Amino acid sequence: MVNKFVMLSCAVLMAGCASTSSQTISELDGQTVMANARMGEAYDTALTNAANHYRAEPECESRKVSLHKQRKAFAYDICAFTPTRMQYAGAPLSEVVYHFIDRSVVRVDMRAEGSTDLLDKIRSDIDHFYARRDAQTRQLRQGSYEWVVGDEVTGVREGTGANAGNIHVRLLDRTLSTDAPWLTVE
Amino acid sequence: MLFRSLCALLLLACATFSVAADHAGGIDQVDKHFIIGGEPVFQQAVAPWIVALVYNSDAELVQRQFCGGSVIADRWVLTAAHCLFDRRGDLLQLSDLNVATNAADLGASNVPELLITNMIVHPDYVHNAANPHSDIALLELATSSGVEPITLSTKSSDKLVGLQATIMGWGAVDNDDPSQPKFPIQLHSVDVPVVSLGVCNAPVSYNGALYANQLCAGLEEGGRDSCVGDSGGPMIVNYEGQVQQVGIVSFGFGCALPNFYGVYTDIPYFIGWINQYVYVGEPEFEPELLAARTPTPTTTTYTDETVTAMPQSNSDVASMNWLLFALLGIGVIRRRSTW
Repeated sequence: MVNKFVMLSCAVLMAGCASTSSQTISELDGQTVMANARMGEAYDTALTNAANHYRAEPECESRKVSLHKQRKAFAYDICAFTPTRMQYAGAPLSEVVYHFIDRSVVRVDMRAEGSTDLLDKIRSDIDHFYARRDAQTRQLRQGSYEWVVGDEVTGVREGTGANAGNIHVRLLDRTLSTDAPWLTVE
Repeated sequence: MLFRSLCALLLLACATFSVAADHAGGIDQVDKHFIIGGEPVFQQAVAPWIVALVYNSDAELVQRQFCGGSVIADRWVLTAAHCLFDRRGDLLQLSDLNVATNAADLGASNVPELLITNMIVHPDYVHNAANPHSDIALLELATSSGVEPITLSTKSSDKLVGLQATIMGWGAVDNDDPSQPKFPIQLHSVDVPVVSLGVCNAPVSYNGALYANQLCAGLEEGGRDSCVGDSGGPMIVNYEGQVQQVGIVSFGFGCALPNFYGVYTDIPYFIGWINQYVYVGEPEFEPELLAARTPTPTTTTYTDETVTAMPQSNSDVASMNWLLFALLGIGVIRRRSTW
């Protein structure tokens, strides 16, 4: 009986640890997972997962955009979640935003409340994550870092101006730099 | 930030130069019409054969429209091949899209949407190639379109140079900000002169990148053009007393920019291919062979059709880089990921 209780307690504890909020980034089938989403994931899947995880409904906008030199119009959807009482890397998570083109995830943004300490913590975590994936790392400027692996670009930066007091983490599809450069600019 | 400032300065300088040049030519201001420069078409009867390609979802029709097309026979629609590929270069599924007829007003209720049973992409079309020539495809409808088809031109397009062509579509009426193009609910049309391939292939324009199976139309000074969302739609001319479709909206660098004309698939060049599926008349000329750099086709299969797909050769990749540099060279290449 005692053993069962101990095992159950451990299971609960491990489950809690597995979903620890300090986990900033993860990997599934060779793809980076951020905010429960992967690049290329379908609109419905990503939003269903996010709604369940963040226990919130998204606010979405849709419009048509142009890509590269094509004269075909592409569907662009942007959906934002404002989680309450959720944490990211131990800090209050204020916003999660998904960007879709053709109903597939092309960019994910997370914003957490914090400053340099939080930036360093997340950066260290992501550095550790990418150490085994042979990522190209670079500092874009003071307080802004980027990791590139295959067609994925992960970035973390400290908010400035109106966004001061926030750390912004994002994952995006690298092909956007050709197809939709406006979407790679914050 | 420095880069943005430089770009802003460069754009300002270009705009100033452009306006100054127009003044010198006696034009008071830059004439910026789009489909860019066109006008709304309020009556479907003006162009009964025009259709909109729309995604199959529960969003509003205007949001779902992504390309145009034209009815060329009761159950056949002509469009651009690239309309049938997603951003990654994968062919769309038949169930992904419908054909909307009588859709001059995308805001109207009860716009008919027809199912597609077959998509046929020209075997020489290479998605993501530097110059995606042979940008032509056929859609077979599940049911009768019930609309009057347009006549396709079977004569060489060489004779069209200088004639006014009309382009129609639901594409952007303003693409200054590619992240937020402005799309109309109403079908638009614009008149532009057909330009010779020689002019369009000039160093200041597409610099030799275009093939004999492509047409150009537009103004040297820009201002009138097809744009994002117009792909697949028709370019028509009134030739020898008959309205005929001569081109399909394919691509262009930007929209309505000086020297960068709209590029269209030259329909007469493909009459023989179209006749394999639906007879539209005998070609009245011998199409010129394409340049030797066209790669050798390989065959791939999808759904119930066999299509040929071209491998992307090294020369294509090289020419893509070349084209990008040539077209984007004047300060448009952007630093990657400046956030």
